[in-house]
Amino acid sequence: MTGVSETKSALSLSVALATRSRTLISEADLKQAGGRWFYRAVLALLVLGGLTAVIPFVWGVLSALKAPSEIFTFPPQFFPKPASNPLEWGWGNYLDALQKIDFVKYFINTIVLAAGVWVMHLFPTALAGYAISKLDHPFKRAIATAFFATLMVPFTAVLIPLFMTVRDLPLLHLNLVDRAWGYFAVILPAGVNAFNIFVFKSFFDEIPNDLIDAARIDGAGEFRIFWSVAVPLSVSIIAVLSIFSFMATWNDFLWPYLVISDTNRYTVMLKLYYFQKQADIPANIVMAALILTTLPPIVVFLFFQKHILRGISLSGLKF
Amino acid sequence: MTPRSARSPASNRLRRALPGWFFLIPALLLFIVFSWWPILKGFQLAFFEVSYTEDVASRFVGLKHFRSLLSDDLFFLSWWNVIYFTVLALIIGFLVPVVLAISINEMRHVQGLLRLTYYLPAILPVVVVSVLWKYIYAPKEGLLDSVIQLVGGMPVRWLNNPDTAMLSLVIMSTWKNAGATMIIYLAALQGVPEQLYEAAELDGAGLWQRLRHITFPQIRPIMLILLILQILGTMQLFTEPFVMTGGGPNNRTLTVMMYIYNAAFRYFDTGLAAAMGIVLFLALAGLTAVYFFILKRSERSLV
Repeated sequence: MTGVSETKSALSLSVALATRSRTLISEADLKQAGGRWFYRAVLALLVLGGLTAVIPFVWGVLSALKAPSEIFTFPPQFFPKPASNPLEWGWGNYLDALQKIDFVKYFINTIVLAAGVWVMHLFPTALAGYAISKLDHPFKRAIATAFFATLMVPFTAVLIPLFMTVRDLPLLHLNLVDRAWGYFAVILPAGVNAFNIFVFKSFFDEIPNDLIDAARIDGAGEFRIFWSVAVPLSVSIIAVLSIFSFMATWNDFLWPYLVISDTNRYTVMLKLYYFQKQADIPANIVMAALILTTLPPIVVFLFFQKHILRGISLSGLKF
Repeated sequence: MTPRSARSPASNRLRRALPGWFFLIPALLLFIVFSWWPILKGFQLAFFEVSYTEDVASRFVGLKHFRSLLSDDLFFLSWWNVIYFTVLALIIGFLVPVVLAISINEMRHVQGLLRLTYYLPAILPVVVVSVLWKYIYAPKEGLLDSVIQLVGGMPVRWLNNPDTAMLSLVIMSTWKNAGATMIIYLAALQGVPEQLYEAAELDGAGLWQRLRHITFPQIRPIMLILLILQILGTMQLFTEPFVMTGGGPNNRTLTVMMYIYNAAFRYFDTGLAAAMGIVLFLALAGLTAVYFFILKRSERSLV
């Protein structure tokens, strides 16, 4: 299948990230005076560039601590007043935003939704990936091709017919957008994830067939083999895909916006969207809400940094 | 050969296929209902008059929707906008992650910190970034305009100015997306065999020659892949303009996706929206095919 070795090499390469190897510039280059100055200049430029990467975010963090009139001023002021005494900054704004946006409620909503999506992102895909990799099936190749062909269809191109499908499920004629169905309109379509099937398949390909056959000879059923041989060997990839699944649910906007009609079931991002559109919310409170809704992804990132950075080389093949 | 052993391979095969079915059925059901069926339905809708209230494709109208697209100025404008965004995003943003990755990869100090710093914007949710930058771009009194005035310039009024609205979106999305792409390039750079650099050095190759004849050829396949991925992503632009400009001013940031959204959920013209979806689908499918072709070819060259 396409991209197997890409995926594999990306995985093995990022493991190598830890150990320094010979790169473009050698240690000998750096010992020359010219090389040393060049190196310092590039380092200085990178630090400057790094500042532009973080300044907008830091500006947001600080603006949340200002009075509304201090955010839009001329001349611009970066720090809240009084700049010399951070204790007097508007720390209460964050608490205010937390209450005004009813953060806890929508946080719980999003976690519930993320759990459902996580199940759909991992279980059907792992099973299918295992079948394609390790089981005999007369139409295996055709089915695998039909799965992977959907990678060619960008989500946005099926948006309208997919929306009509969840509003009126074929044969069953159920309307999943109806509030009675909760998050099913988001959760069920999440099961269409050919990328994860592909990742699982290429991961299971690495498990020696002898191991599977040995388990068969011992009398283990196929599901048992999948569950107690293949899955434990794939914990690392399951971790990567789980983190990405959570991040995707947390950040997702368009599809939940279309199909979650019940205001009590909004995700954090939906709530944030409507919150910032309200005319009567001052800018500093909106800023505080922005930063608050960013904290969970940042915390997850800091905790699972290694997994994520490794996973990005995987997701480079995703769209 | 006994009759029993002649029969058993067939029944054996059936028995062996059963677990396969069991493992495939959940995914198959989901793909049928939420992927393959909607794809077919999309083609059907595009040729039918659709009543929004009843969700039924009632009357076959042939190419009517496509014909009305041909005379729809807004449709062409939305394509022009998206292409403009894509080209601008490539000019401004395509090389940034490459340059960042190559130089960060050489750093002997604070490399991890630099990587983290440049990656930070990629962690932020799109909606958050869009709202944050809406404030940064606020006309006259926003951060950017007030800094420009401070150094003696005229306020640009970024998102409110028809000439700079799209450029503003490009700058923001470059800021947001460069970090993630950079990480992929960093991983690719780790895979450049060190012997190549050593050999080149023995041959007396300078820094620039090593960069040109070793580094770039080694990461070219991944550059090509990321180029196509970036185009695929930018052609589907939706959330950023939806949150920041609503498609304005003067429809200058109306993207194809936004127009599809408007047609379906504002004007309730599902057939027309589906027809636009087909056009987008065909355009992107061509690109995606090229993507898979390259992927397959680079895979072969790696083996």
